[in-house]
Amino acid sequence: MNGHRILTIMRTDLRQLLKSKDFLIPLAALSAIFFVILPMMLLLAIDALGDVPTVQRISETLDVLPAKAQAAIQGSTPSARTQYALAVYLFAPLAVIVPLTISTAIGAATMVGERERGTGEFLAHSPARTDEIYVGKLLASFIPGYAATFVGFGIYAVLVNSIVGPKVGGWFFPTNDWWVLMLWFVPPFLIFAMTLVLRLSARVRSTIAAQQASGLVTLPMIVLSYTQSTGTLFGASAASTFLIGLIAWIAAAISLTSGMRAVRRSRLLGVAIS
Amino acid sequence: MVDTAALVRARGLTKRFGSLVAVDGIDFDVAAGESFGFLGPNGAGKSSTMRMIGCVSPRDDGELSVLDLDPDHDGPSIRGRLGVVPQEDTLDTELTVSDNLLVYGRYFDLPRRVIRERTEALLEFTRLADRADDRVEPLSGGMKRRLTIARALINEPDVLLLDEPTTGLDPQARHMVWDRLYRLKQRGVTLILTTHYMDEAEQLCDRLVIMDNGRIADEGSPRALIERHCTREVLELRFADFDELDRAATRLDELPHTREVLPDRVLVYADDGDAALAAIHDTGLQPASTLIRRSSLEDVFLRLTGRSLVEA
Ligand SMILES: Nc1ncnc2c1ncn2[C@@H]1O[C@H](COP(=O)(O)OP(=O)(O)OP(=O)(O)O)[C@@H](O)[C@H]1O
Ligand SMILES: [Mg+2]
Repeated sequence: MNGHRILTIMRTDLRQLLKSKDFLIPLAALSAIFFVILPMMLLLAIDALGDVPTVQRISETLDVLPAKAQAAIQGSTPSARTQYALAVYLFAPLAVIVPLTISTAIGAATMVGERERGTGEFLAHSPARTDEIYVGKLLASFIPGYAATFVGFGIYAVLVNSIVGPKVGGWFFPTNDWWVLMLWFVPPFLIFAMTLVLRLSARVRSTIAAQQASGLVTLPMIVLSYTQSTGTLFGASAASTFLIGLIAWIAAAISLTSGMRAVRRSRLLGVAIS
Repeated sequence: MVDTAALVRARGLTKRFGSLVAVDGIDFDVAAGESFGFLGPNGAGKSSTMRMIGCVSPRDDGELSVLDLDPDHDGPSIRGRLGVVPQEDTLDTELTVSDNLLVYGRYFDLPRRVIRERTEALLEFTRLADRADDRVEPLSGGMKRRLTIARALINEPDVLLLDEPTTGLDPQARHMVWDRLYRLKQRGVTLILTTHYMDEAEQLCDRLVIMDNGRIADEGSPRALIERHCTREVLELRFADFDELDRAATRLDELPHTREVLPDRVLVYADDGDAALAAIHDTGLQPASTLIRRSSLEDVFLRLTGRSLVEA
């Protein structure tokens, strides 16, 4: 495989994405809703309510969390403890849902879109090998989802630190577990999902069909990575966290290798509609 | 024929799409330095054949070697030595003219300096130098076609594949493309092209095959094909109405000339058109109009298949 060609393919796809407003606006909206608007509303609502009985009751429910997670919760008042718990635990699945949604939307259209627009003929005739095309396109769908999540994650960190931080003794986010989640967990799950979505995209007849079908692929992925991500944050042991992440990386690698072989050049060509 | 020098060689080459046989066991050889054409109407299987040569669509049967390599195994090395102008332009319309070449050059792993030099030379060659920094989108059809040709030449290919290089262009733009291709031919680039224009085939091809329904009807130089299947001249007769044409067709049976009855006219093949016209007048027929012209590949196609190249 040749890095230049992979990068050229990736750059071309990314450049086209960046130019299309129908893509950028929903992307920004999705990240903003999940990483900024929802958390801010929740945290500020608790601020406004103060230590009223409802908040106290929510804070009591924190008792059901695993002991390790409970021990990690900071803050002296019930509302501070509630806010801390929400900030650290409730929004963890976002780190998974947002990139999967964005990357899937891009990945589903990528192969079949070439065929629909007739631009696949160009790639098919180019000296790029199919595995280079596959990896280039995988990167072009992985990067926007992962990057948007990282940016959202950054804004989220500033947000929760400034709302909750002062009450729990300073900046506390991201916690170590969040770093593990972002760097060790999310990438392999995302790559694995994209390997499947790209293969689907190469097989179906239209972008719409690809999007519908890839929803079926990513839904179980979301559930799976949701449970795993919360598990990580709720203080699963370091060893098991590492192991599950490792399994995800291996699955991603296997699926990537077999996906590289599954894509056929002729699938990039326009299908004559008879 | 000795085909040790054949750059492309096909025997029983076949392509199927489900039950449809798009290319039905064809044989041909393309020699280095020649300009070889596939002439045929819509759906003849020209593009399917080109895609097999271009190693983007696998063959279903038969043998095919391109540059002495097997497309099934050596696709990447073959593609690296081909230049391809597909039937539809596949330019990146959001990029500038020169960026289209620069980006494509990177697929071939060429150093940036080399790509830049070649881009400049190729834009000069295709007469697009003054549009180098313009976006592709607003260019005319002919300019886009020339740019696609320039792009196909960025890797200095041994063989240039052109699928209907001038379809959809106006006459002036077509001549410009022909002129550029003619120059390439003079430089010794091997051209393989498809067309459904008989004048394009006559202009550009040293040798061609006539394709219809996935099969090759005949093969030869334009001159040889015309000599083999037609007379030197053709007499075109038009009649006032269909009944008249019908009656004339029966009457012409008395004459020794071969003829072809089309919906709107009758073609009479004769080495001496004037003499044939005199003979026709002698039978008492009064065509509404007459035209004597030289035979063309269009007539060859008609003789071989009973149909016109471009459906009226
Ligand atoms: N991907 C495909 N799937 C199914 N059928 C196809 C496909 N590509 C071509 N065909 C069919 O194969 C036959 C030959 O098509 P091809 O494109 O090779 O013809 P052509 O000579 O290039 O015609 P044109 O002048 O219209 O470009 C046609 O009947 C076409 O509908
Ligand atoms: Mg065609």
